[in-house]
Amino acid sequence: MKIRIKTIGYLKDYFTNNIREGEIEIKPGTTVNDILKKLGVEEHLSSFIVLINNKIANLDTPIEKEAEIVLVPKVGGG
Amino acid sequence: MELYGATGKILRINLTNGDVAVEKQNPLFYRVYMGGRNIALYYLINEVSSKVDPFDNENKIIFATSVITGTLIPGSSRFTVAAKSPLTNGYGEAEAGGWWGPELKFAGYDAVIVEGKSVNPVYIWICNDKVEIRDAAYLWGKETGEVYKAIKEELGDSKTRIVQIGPAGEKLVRFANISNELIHFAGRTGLGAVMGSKKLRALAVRGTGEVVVKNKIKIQEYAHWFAKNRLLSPCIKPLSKLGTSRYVSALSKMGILPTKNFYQGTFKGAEKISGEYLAESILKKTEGCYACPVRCKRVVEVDKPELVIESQYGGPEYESVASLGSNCGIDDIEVVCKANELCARYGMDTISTGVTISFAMECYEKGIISKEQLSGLELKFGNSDAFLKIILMIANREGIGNILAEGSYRAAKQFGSSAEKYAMTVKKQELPLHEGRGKWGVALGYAVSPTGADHLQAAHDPWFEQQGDSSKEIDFIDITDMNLFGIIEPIAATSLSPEKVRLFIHLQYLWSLHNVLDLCILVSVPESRMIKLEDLVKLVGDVTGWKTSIWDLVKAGERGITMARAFNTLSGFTSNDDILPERLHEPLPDGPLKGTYIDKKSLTDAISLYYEMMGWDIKGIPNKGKLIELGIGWINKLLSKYR
Repeated sequence: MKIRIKTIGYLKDYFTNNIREGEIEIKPGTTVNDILKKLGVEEHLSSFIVLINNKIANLDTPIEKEAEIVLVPKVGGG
Repeated sequence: MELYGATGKILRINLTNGDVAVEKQNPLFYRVYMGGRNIALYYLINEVSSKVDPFDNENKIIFATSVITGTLIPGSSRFTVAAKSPLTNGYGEAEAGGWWGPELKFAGYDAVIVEGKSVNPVYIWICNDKVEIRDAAYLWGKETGEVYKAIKEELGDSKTRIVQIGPAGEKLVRFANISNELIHFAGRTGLGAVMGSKKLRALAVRGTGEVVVKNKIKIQEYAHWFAKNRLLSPCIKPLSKLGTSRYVSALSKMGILPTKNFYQGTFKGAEKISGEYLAESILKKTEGCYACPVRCKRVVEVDKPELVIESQYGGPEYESVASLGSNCGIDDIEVVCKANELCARYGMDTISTGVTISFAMECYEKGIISKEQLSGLELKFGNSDAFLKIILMIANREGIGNILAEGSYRAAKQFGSSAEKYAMTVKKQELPLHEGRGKWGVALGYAVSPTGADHLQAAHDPWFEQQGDSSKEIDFIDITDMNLFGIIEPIAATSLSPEKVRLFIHLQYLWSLHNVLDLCILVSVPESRMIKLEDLVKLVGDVTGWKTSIWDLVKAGERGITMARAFNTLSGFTSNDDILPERLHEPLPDGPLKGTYIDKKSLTDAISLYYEMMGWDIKGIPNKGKLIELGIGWINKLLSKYR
């Protein structure tokens, strides 16, 4: 199945293939973490928040059907 | 005990009679108070009585540095300004980076206390041992850029560093700020108006001495390591590249970008006012502070027939982008930057300016104030033309600007009871641009902050949420250094559980320490993870020669929070002042956190628990034993009648 993945703001700098927005093919049950490993994003795992279909989720949440995954930089203050 | 880091000298200047005195402080004083807010509070509690009005002759304004200011430690450029605040009527404090604090140390002083009032406009000239009160009548009424140039020309020394107020400070706008080198601001709590009330336009400083540290080589080695490795930090890199506006689009996506007077958390125009967009459009160059290689400051320039923005006024921080942008419904980065430039020219805090205008916009849209009252302005959200005009009306106290110059809390009192719920203030100070409904620890910080709503009470909640692989949660907490306080489990951003209160107080001690040491949080834990807590202990030891520890430093931070609470208690504040604007108790209307609000009872319970953990009584007054434990038992005699 296909899912959409999107990165917000400066996070694109951390993707080795510089992907900012696109679609990828995955098997049901794949986690966000698996997808990120495939994209070469193992570093800085704590630096962003994961939204699946506009709801806050975790990296180990399995994806069972078509979804939009958005990676948002973790927002501090100042 | 030998003294390293500090100069041991406090400069006292009385503007009523022109007296100048240099007072010596002993090494033990610095060992207890260390610097910044603690030095300022030591003098304010001792010398400014509870009955003093902020604009009275008896109010004092204090400029204080710390034992590490002016060393080579990155982020050690900052200084504290403090007085009784004309905005809150309680403890007023603001910090700024830049160059002025280190220069004061080079001139041989740790702090300057300005007291009394001058009849005519003056500025203070400090050049090493020479201190003069000079005529500023010819500078009065002029914009900050003109005054900066004129003072440098008059003194004939281009290396002079200048803090000053603008015309808004002269006119006692209650949220007037204090700038240094035109682009660094001690923005909050209206301290510029205190200078204005004293007819003090500026303090120019030039020093040729140096800060003597115990172990110079260790400090040099650390500074070199920092410069070499800074871009490896996932937090410093975006800060250098995009400035503090690095989060704008992320905040909107998360539904916590304050928009239209904090009504909602998503903003359609977020991308157009983001740090990324700014970097690709009108950014001219970056700027930085003394001894810091990060260079997070933006400098913008626009030269169009219809809009000119002068680069000498720098560019906007995140707070300014959100307060003058999304929060007023403005999605044009050039208009946001122009508004920021006007605030710098006239000397007004961008946070309070934007949030006061967004309040007026909502009042206008709701029919509480009329077009006639606004001198014909169509002050709707997103109306750039009316928006830029109202900034000038506030700065000059013209028309309705004269009411808005009092801040949104006082303006709401004049507009009538229907306006009060739209004034987004705590202790009469406007909220900074962080949506408390998405960061409940930040909201708790707004409520209990001694200076009124403030976003720098503690590191923000999202750092401590479980976001990554749940099997790696311990690693996750490790990187924020919170494991050093025994906090080893993630805590949700939207929680006010006892565990959140526990996390909050430890963060608040740590953040307060940064205002004691006048160290920038953006290079330090847990905001950027460059200067780690263990590093900081070593650095303070290498500067001062003290045998210190994490416990000792964090206690200095706690001392500051409790001293500020004591000052506020003496000024008449009670637990009734530790509240949030009504809007934060109403559900967010959009975004991933749609429907989220802060429950009043949960907040009250969290605040009661916070008092208990802080060693304060049920009314929020510091207990006798706590003050003694913190080494400030002398405050007990002042507080006893309030308990």
